[in-house]
Amino acid sequence: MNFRDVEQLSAYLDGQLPPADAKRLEARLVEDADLHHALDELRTTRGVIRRLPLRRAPRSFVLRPSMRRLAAPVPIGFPVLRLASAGATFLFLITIGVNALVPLAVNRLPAAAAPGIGMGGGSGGGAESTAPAATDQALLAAAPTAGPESSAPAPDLQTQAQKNLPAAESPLARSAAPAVALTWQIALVGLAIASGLGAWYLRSSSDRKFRRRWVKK
Amino acid sequence: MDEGVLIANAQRGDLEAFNRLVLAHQDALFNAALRILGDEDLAADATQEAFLAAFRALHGFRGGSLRAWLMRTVTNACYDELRRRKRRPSGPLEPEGEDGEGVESPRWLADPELNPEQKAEAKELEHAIQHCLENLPLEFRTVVVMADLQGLDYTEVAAAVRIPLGTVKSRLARARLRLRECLQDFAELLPSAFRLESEPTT
Repeated sequence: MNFRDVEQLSAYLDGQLPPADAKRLEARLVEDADLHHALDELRTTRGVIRRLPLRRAPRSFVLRPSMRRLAAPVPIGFPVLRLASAGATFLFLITIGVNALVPLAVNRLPAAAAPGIGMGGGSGGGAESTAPAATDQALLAAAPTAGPESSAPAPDLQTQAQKNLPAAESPLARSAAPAVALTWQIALVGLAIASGLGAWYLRSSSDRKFRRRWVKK
Repeated sequence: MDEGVLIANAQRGDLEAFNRLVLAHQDALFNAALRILGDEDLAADATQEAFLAAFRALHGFRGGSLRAWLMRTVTNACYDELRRRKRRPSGPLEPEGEDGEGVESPRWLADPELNPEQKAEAKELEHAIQHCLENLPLEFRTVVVMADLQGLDYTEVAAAVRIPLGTVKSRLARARLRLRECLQDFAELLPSAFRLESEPTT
């Protein structure tokens, strides 16, 4: 006999064993004297515990309006509104995180994918980008020394330097579109505030009614 | 009045309806707390806290046995009481009466009519059983109190103590084995019909 047998016997005693298991156990009980004895001992133990007298409560535990900790029942809609407010706030914070992290991740991609283009001293640059960066800087540095009579070539130099940067990957273009649109963020903030206010109103209104009815008596 | 009607009214803030439910269930809750905590003052505090919490959270009762639902509340209150006592022992809670005095009414004793000798024996037996209960780990004791003393079925015990059904079975079986061992030390106090081992024949 092992503990699993004792567990089964205990559950059988309480009528909590599934019918199929109970039937199997009954068949074993007929043949196994030790198992039968163990069941008798469990029955006796349970019987002794049940002899503990039922004590009457020493005093009345009714709730009185003057009790410090007495609070009105929570209105049924309150937990739902509170959960909605908390959920919306949490999602809003997630959107802030996403909008902050996604551009950082995107910014790193061009430096790793196309080292020849070069960013001219950016954090993602490496040894490969120093030569092209130097070329761009040389081109841009050459523009101011040309003098007023050569103003026409200056825009060409700048244009040429800018052409080295793919238009779609310019820093301005990357930061223009957040991952999560502002509309959604405003909606989440609105939902958080509205449901929070709704929860607060429900709760305070319920408390007010309760106090008006019971506490002033 | 029907319990369902009282519950519905109480959920709408009717204190009188809830107090009728308190009067119907306070003995059961007090006994559960007493057997779990082993101390009358602690049990009274836990019972009062349980009813306060139950009134506040009555929206969470979705039907079924109110007694089983209240047992969950008193179990939580008992655990909280034990945690509180460990942190900072303090005097018992007492509701304030409108006249500034406590609301204690004369003590009620539900012991049946016994002669003094029988009463003494019954008291000794009660102390012995309570001693063995208190020797159990708290989680085993709670399950025994709920199942064997309060008569909850395994599903209700699982809900009251917030443990899986399999854990209820296992803890109850282990608790009964330990109780059996402990009660053997008090065999002479047990009524003959409940002796745990047959007397040796000479």
